[in-house]
Amino acid sequence: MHQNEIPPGTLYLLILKALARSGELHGYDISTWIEHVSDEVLQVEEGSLYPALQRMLVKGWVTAKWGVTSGNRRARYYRLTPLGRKQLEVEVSQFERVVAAITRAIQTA
Amino acid sequence: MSRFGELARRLVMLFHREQFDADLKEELRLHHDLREREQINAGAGTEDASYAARRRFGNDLVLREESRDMWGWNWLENMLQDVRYGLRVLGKNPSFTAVAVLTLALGIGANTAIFSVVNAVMLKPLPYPDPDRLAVIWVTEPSGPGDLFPDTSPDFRDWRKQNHVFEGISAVTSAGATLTGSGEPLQLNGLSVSPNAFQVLGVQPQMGRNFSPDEGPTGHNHVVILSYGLWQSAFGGQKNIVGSKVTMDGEAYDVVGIMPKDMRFPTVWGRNPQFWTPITMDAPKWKTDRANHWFWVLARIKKGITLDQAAAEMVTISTRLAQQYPQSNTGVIARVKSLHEQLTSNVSEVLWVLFAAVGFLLLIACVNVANLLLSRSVGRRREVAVRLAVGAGAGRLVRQLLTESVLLFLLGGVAGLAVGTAALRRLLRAAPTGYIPAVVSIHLDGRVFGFTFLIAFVMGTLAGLIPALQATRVSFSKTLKESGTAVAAPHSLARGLLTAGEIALALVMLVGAGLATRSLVRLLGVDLGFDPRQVVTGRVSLPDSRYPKEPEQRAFFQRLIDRVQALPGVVSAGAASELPLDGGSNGAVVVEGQPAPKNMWSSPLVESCTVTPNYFRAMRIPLLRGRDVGEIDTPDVPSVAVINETMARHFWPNQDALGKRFKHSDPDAKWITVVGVVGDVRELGLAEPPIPEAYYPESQQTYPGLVLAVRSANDPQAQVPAIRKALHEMDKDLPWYEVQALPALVTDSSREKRFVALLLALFAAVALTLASVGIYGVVSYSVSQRTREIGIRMAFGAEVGTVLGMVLREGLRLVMIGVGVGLLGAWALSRYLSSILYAVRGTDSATYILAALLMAAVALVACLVPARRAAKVDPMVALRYE
Repeated sequence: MHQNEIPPGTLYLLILKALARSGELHGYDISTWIEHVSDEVLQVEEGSLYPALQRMLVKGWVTAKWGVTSGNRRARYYRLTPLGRKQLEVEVSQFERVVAAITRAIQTA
Repeated sequence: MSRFGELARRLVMLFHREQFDADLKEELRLHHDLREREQINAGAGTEDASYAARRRFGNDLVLREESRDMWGWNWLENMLQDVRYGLRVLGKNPSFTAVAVLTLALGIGANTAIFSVVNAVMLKPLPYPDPDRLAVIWVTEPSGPGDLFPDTSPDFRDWRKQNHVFEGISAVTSAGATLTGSGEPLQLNGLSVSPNAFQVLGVQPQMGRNFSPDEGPTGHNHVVILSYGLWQSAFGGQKNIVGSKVTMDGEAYDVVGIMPKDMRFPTVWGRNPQFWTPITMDAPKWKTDRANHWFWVLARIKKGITLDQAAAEMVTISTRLAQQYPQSNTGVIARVKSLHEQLTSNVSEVLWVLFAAVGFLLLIACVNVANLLLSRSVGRRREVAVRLAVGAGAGRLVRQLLTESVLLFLLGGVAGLAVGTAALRRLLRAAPTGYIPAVVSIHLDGRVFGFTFLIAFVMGTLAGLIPALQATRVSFSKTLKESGTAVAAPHSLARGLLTAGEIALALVMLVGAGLATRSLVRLLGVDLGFDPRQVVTGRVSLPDSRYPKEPEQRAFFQRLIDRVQALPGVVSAGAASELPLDGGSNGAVVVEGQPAPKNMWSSPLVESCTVTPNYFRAMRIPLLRGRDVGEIDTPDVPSVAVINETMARHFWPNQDALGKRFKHSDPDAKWITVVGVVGDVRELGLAEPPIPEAYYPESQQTYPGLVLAVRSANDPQAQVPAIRKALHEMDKDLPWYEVQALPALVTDSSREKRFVALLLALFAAVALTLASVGIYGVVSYSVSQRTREIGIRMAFGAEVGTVLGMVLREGLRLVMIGVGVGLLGAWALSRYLSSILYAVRGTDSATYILAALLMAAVALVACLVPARRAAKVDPMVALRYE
């Protein structure tokens, strides 16, 4: 399967969604979750994932806490804040509006 | 709210950034390991897996940096890094740093000091409520030279009744008084004011009350308000002074108030007042005489009315009065000026000149430092090239080099503030009293602080920009290949232009200082018309209450002068109502057999002075024709006068003035016969040409306050105690005040020009030094860069003279460009110097030539030193030099 870069601007949306579905995830989990649910179409670059997570920490959408993985290694787990949940709704509706608009545009004869 | 939360989180990250960084590092390692395991599980070899994971990861450092960037603090970290690096670089070159900081401290310090004065005098509002609405009113003659004259009582009353633009207008004139009853008699200077003066100004006494409206013009006028200073010095700050009586000029005055300590009355005339009394306008002479101009007017404009509107209304009113009273008021037009302009206009022109001078000085200092930075940046080209080669961004590098120069300038700013504070203190101590208006208080405030650091910052950026941009523009492959000694410095054009520029600026300052100095020399060389050496002067005023009758006053002065004349060591003693240089009172005259002037402005005003016999001899004012005033000029015989040469020439050209008659313009004036002609003296000041003047015998025109002028055979100051003793033996309650050696009075008269010339000369000397250091630096740098070339030339047989000439030519080209531009600049700017010049034109060619020669000579010496070093280059050493 050919892998695609995540369209700009939707990385936050995907991270927020991943956390909303799974509650608590560390960075690697987030990237595998996104790859998994997208049937390996979307690939998350580490070069974008970690700056994005730092930015979301600054924005207060997520919090981070150290925990232990199933493989017994220390990992930083991210969790949504109420602010992050609200942001998810905003991002989703924004995304849907854009997709609908693009769909309309490309279906116009 | 959320923005605030975000800032809080950012700050937490900033302060715990090491923890966050470590977290990030560990997190990334975990991610990397998990990815590697994934690859292994997918069947890759260990090495392949590790490689694949690393490839996906990219540069771990960059990734961490980018993640950290999200905290939004990288600009701060970069800056701190730049600052640390910059400080290290500055610390590693202590002599470079010291020279640069010292140069900047001089430039910035001079600016800080002068700007403090500019700020206080010109930028800050006057210390009264709503100071923009305060104004002064004078009258002027529209066709005349624009001189402003005091006002008259009848006009004042009409103005007050007819205007709709002022909240209040108040007459103000100076008033002296002798305070007795508390120890030694004390001569005070004060002001007579309309009762509403303090309301107009907007100030309240700190104790007691203001004058009430009925005190003054018509009512009880023996009330006084004391200044805080007088209250403290003469009455020891007694609380019960308000409501008690004090004795001034032998009469009892009720003290009704004390003014606050920091209250400063506008000093339009005379010195800081020590007391205020209500002005009296009901004497018949003042009540109705529209030709008697004797006070100035302080006014507060109504809210919502502009200065121009107020001025226009006053022109309308005074034009109407001129039609109503053509004899006295023709051409007398009221002129409204803002109080701020009134108080600062005489100093402001000079201040701008000084401000420009220190501005030039700062530019020269900056050019020097920019030149230093440029030569250092050439030395650092390899460092810069290496850093560019290993991937430093050019923008970041420029920012770092700029940080360095701004740091250097900020250090200069700190040192400059210290220099400026010290300089300001000395400046204020050296400034002639009264030159800077007493109502302003000068100190370093936030604005001065801001100004200093703003110029440090801006100049640091400008001076650092060229070296920084040039340094990062180098082709690094070429530089790295190049040996340490460049064949020709790439910055020589920029350096040359900067150096020529500073020579030009220094020359402009030299010309300015030269013109000011020549003016001063001209002023000091002025023929005074009298001989001040060995004369001491001081005033005696007889209070009306104790010497009400003229014969008593006359007799007193006659006896006093006889006593002083008899003192051992006294050569001659006399007295006059006014000394030269200070100005006095004047009026129009009518000459017998000539048409009367149409109004008081249509012929020159004649200065009047009352003198005793021997006054001319004591002052050594030469008697040219006729006789001195004498005892024969009693009140019963026709009035006589001795006039000066200018008056004789003006009113009786090509005739003998002796025996001719004139009279004052008031209706009941008597004819006065000219009995003598004396030489002209400088009556209004050193810089003012002589004016027509008439001296009247004290015996005919008695005056209650005279200045004693005593010429002695030796030190005149030694006579002071004896003269005072003679006076006190006659009346112990009379002070002898304003005692001064006459030479000091003459010196005083030139003090402003002296002060300005001294400052300009000082600034120009610093500028000259800095500019010569600048050209020395450029030429010696170029010599050091060309050591190899010079060595080769000499090895091939070049003469010492040829090498010397080669180096000198390079320096002299810069000097010639600089001098040419400087002369043009000075010529263009010279018209702004008119306020500081006297009897010298702004384009005085001798000054220009001398200044250019001086500049060229100093620059030549500065070039000669490195040139001689070049000529001594040993070819063998130079060629091995690598």
